[in-house]
Amino acid sequence: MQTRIKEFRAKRGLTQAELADLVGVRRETIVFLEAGKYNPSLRLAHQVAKALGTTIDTLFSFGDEGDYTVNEE
Amino acid sequence: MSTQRQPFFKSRPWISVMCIFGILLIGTGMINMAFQPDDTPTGLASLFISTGFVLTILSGFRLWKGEKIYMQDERTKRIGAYGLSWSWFLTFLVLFGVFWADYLHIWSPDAQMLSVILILLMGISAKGFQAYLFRKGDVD
Repeated sequence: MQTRIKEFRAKRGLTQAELADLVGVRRETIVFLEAGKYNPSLRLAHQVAKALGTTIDTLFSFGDEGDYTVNEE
Repeated sequence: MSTQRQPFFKSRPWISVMCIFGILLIGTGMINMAFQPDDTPTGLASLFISTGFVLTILSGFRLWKGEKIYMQDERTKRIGAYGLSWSWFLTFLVLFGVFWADYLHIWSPDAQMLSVILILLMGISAKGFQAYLFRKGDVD
Protein backbone atom coordinates (compact mmCIF):
# COMPACT_ATOMS: atom_id res chain seq x y z
CA MET A 1 0.00 0.00 0.00
CA GLN A 2 1.27 3.46 -0.88
CA THR A 3 0.02 6.67 0.65
CA ARG A 4 0.40 10.37 -0.05
CA ILE A 5 -0.43 11.35 3.52
CA LYS A 6 3.03 12.84 4.15
CA GLU A 7 2.78 15.01 1.05
CA PHE A 8 -0.70 16.34 1.88
CA ARG A 9 0.20 16.77 5.56
CA ALA A 10 3.19 18.89 4.55
CA LYS A 11 0.98 21.00 2.26
CA ARG A 12 -1.31 21.71 5.19
CA GLY A 13 1.65 22.41 7.48
CA LEU A 14 0.62 19.78 9.99
CA THR A 15 2.89 17.68 12.14
CA GLN A 16 2.24 13.96 12.63
CA ALA A 17 1.13 14.66 16.19
CA GLU A 18 -1.30 17.35 15.05
CA LEU A 19 -2.82 15.11 12.39
CA ALA A 20 -3.05 12.28 14.93
CA ASP A 21 -4.87 14.60 17.31
CA LEU A 22 -7.22 15.74 14.54
CA VAL A 23 -8.34 12.23 13.67
CA GLY A 24 -8.13 10.84 17.23
CA VAL A 25 -5.34 8.28 16.91
CA ARG A 26 -1.86 7.84 18.34
CA ARG A 27 1.05 9.50 16.55
CA GLU A 28 2.59 6.07 15.91
CA THR A 29 -0.49 5.14 13.88
CA ILE A 30 0.16 8.11 11.57
CA VAL A 31 3.84 7.08 11.34
CA PHE A 32 2.90 3.55 10.23
CA LEU A 33 0.17 4.90 7.93
CA GLU A 34 2.64 7.16 6.16
CA ALA A 35 5.09 4.28 5.81
CA GLY A 36 2.33 2.18 4.23
CA LYS A 37 2.73 -0.43 6.97
CA TYR A 38 -0.70 -0.02 8.51
CA ASN A 39 -3.91 -0.83 6.70
CA PRO A 40 -6.49 1.60 8.16
CA SER A 41 -10.21 1.05 8.54
CA LEU A 42 -12.47 2.80 6.05
CA ARG A 43 -13.54 5.15 8.83
CA LEU A 44 -9.97 6.21 9.66
CA ALA A 45 -9.06 6.54 5.97
CA HIS A 46 -12.09 8.81 5.55
CA GLN A 47 -11.17 10.88 8.61
CA VAL A 48 -7.57 11.33 7.44
CA ALA A 49 -8.69 12.26 3.93
CA LYS A 50 -11.19 14.77 5.35
CA ALA A 51 -8.60 16.27 7.70
CA LEU A 52 -6.20 16.73 4.76
CA GLY A 53 -8.90 18.13 2.49
CA THR A 54 -8.73 15.36 -0.08
CA THR A 55 -10.29 12.00 -0.92
CA ILE A 56 -9.44 8.43 0.03
CA ASP A 57 -8.71 7.66 -3.63
CA THR A 58 -6.06 10.35 -3.79
CA LEU A 59 -4.41 9.37 -0.52
CA PHE A 60 -4.20 5.60 -0.84
CA SER A 61 -3.14 3.36 -3.69
CA PHE A 62 -2.46 -0.34 -3.88
CA GLY A 63 0.19 -1.87 -6.13
CA ASP A 64 -1.74 -5.07 -6.80
CA GLU A 65 -4.87 -3.37 -8.05
CA GLY A 66 -6.94 -5.61 -10.25
CA ASP A 67 -9.86 -4.71 -12.45
CA TYR A 68 -12.86 -4.89 -10.15
CA THR A 69 -15.28 -3.19 -12.51
CA VAL A 70 -18.44 -4.98 -13.50
CA ASN A 71 -18.91 -5.42 -17.23
CA GLU A 72 -22.38 -4.30 -18.15
CA GLU A 73 -23.48 -5.84 -21.42
CA MET B 1 -11.04 18.00 16.70
CA SER B 2 -11.01 14.68 18.40
CA THR B 3 -11.29 14.52 22.13
CA GLN B 4 -11.24 10.87 23.08
CA ARG B 5 -12.10 10.35 26.72
CA GLN B 6 -9.85 7.95 28.57
CA PRO B 7 -11.94 5.05 29.94
CA PHE B 8 -11.89 4.84 33.75
CA PHE B 9 -10.20 1.43 33.76
CA LYS B 10 -7.33 2.87 31.72
CA SER B 11 -6.99 6.00 33.83
CA ARG B 12 -4.01 6.81 36.02
CA PRO B 13 -5.94 6.65 39.35
CA TRP B 14 -7.25 3.16 38.52
CA ILE B 15 -3.82 1.92 37.42
CA SER B 16 -2.38 3.34 40.67
CA VAL B 17 -5.01 1.42 42.65
CA MET B 18 -4.07 -1.76 40.75
CA CYS B 19 -0.38 -1.17 41.50
CA ILE B 20 -1.10 -0.72 45.23
CA PHE B 21 -3.37 -3.77 45.20
CA GLY B 22 -0.56 -5.79 43.60
CA ILE B 23 1.90 -4.68 46.30
CA LEU B 24 -0.66 -5.57 48.99
CA LEU B 25 -1.10 -9.02 47.42
CA ILE B 26 2.64 -9.62 47.48
CA GLY B 27 2.78 -8.45 51.12
CA THR B 28 -0.17 -10.62 52.13
CA GLY B 29 1.36 -13.65 50.41
CA MET B 30 4.72 -13.11 52.09
CA ILE B 31 3.19 -12.59 55.55
CA ASN B 32 1.04 -15.67 55.03
CA MET B 33 4.10 -17.70 54.05
CA ALA B 34 6.19 -16.39 56.95
CA PHE B 35 3.69 -16.97 59.74
CA GLN B 36 1.91 -20.15 58.74
CA PRO B 37 2.87 -23.49 60.31
CA ASP B 38 5.50 -25.52 58.45
CA ASP B 39 3.16 -28.31 57.38
CA THR B 40 0.55 -25.98 55.79
CA PRO B 41 0.47 -25.95 51.97
CA THR B 42 1.74 -22.68 50.48
CA GLY B 43 -0.47 -22.73 47.39
CA LEU B 44 -2.63 -19.73 48.24
CA ALA B 45 0.32 -17.64 49.43
CA SER B 46 2.33 -18.27 46.26
CA LEU B 47 -0.73 -17.55 44.12
CA PHE B 48 -1.08 -14.19 45.94
CA ILE B 49 2.60 -13.42 45.37
CA SER B 50 2.54 -14.41 41.68
CA THR B 51 -0.64 -12.45 40.96
CA GLY B 52 0.73 -9.50 42.93
CA PHE B 53 3.94 -9.51 40.91
CA VAL B 54 2.06 -9.58 37.59
CA LEU B 55 -0.27 -6.75 38.70
CA THR B 56 2.54 -4.62 40.12
CA ILE B 57 4.84 -5.05 37.14
CA LEU B 58 2.14 -4.36 34.51
CA SER B 59 0.56 -1.40 36.29
CA GLY B 60 3.97 -0.02 37.36
CA PHE B 61 5.11 -0.15 33.73
CA ARG B 62 1.97 1.70 32.64
CA LEU B 63 2.46 4.37 35.29
CA TRP B 64 6.08 4.76 34.29
CA LYS B 65 5.28 5.05 30.57
CA GLY B 66 2.40 7.48 31.11
CA GLU B 67 -1.20 7.55 29.93
CA LYS B 68 -0.70 9.07 26.49
CA ILE B 69 1.14 6.06 25.15
CA TYR B 70 -1.75 3.82 26.22
CA MET B 71 -4.40 5.82 24.41
CA GLN B 72 -6.43 3.29 22.44
CA ASP B 73 -7.09 3.86 18.78
CA GLU B 74 -8.18 1.29 16.19
CA ARG B 75 -4.61 0.10 15.64
CA THR B 76 -3.87 -0.49 19.33
CA LYS B 77 -7.24 -2.22 19.79
CA ARG B 78 -6.55 -4.49 16.82
CA ILE B 79 -3.02 -5.29 18.01
CA GLY B 80 -4.29 -5.83 21.56
CA ALA B 81 -6.88 -8.33 20.36
CA TYR B 82 -4.40 -10.20 18.16
CA GLY B 83 -1.82 -10.29 20.96
CA LEU B 84 -4.36 -11.84 23.31
CA SER B 85 -5.43 -14.36 20.65
CA TRP B 86 -1.84 -15.46 20.00
CA SER B 87 -1.21 -15.67 23.74
CA TRP B 88 -4.32 -17.82 24.18
CA PHE B 89 -3.15 -20.13 21.39
CA LEU B 90 0.36 -20.40 22.87
CA THR B 91 -1.15 -21.24 26.27
CA PHE B 92 -3.30 -23.89 24.58
CA LEU B 93 -0.20 -25.44 22.95
CA VAL B 94 1.70 -25.37 26.26
CA LEU B 95 -1.23 -27.02 28.06
CA PHE B 96 -1.35 -29.63 25.31
CA GLY B 97 2.37 -30.27 25.80
CA VAL B 98 2.01 -30.43 29.60
CA PHE B 99 -0.85 -32.91 29.25
CA TRP B 100 1.24 -35.28 27.13
CA ALA B 101 4.32 -34.78 29.29
CA ASP B 102 2.24 -35.79 32.31
CA TYR B 103 0.54 -38.65 30.44
CA LEU B 104 3.91 -40.07 29.34
CA HIS B 105 5.38 -39.54 32.85
CA ILE B 106 8.04 -37.17 31.51
CA TRP B 107 7.06 -34.21 33.69
CA SER B 108 4.14 -34.01 36.10
CA PRO B 109 3.71 -30.53 37.57
CA ASP B 110 1.32 -30.11 40.50
CA ALA B 111 -1.66 -27.73 40.34
CA GLN B 112 0.27 -24.97 42.10
CA MET B 113 3.18 -25.09 39.67
CA LEU B 114 0.85 -25.24 36.69
CA SER B 115 -1.15 -22.24 37.97
CA VAL B 116 1.99 -20.14 38.31
CA ILE B 117 3.19 -21.18 34.84
CA LEU B 118 -0.16 -20.29 33.27
CA ILE B 119 -0.51 -16.96 35.08
CA LEU B 120 2.97 -15.87 34.03
CA LEU B 121 2.78 -17.35 30.52
CA MET B 122 -0.54 -15.69 29.67
CA GLY B 123 0.47 -12.27 30.98
CA ILE B 124 4.00 -12.19 29.63
CA SER B 125 3.25 -13.77 26.23
CA ALA B 126 0.32 -11.41 25.60
CA LYS B 127 2.54 -8.41 26.31
CA GLY B 128 5.35 -9.92 24.23
CA PHE B 129 3.16 -10.55 21.20
CA GLN B 130 1.62 -7.07 21.49
CA ALA B 131 5.09 -5.48 21.71
CA TYR B 132 6.17 -7.41 18.58
CA LEU B 133 3.06 -6.29 16.65
CA PHE B 134 3.48 -2.69 17.79
CA ARG B 135 6.99 -2.69 16.37
CA LYS B 136 5.78 -4.34 13.17
CA GLY B 137 3.01 -1.75 12.74
CA ASP B 138 0.06 -3.96 11.89
CA VAL B 139 -1.22 -7.48 12.39
CA ASP B 140 -0.95 -8.53 8.73
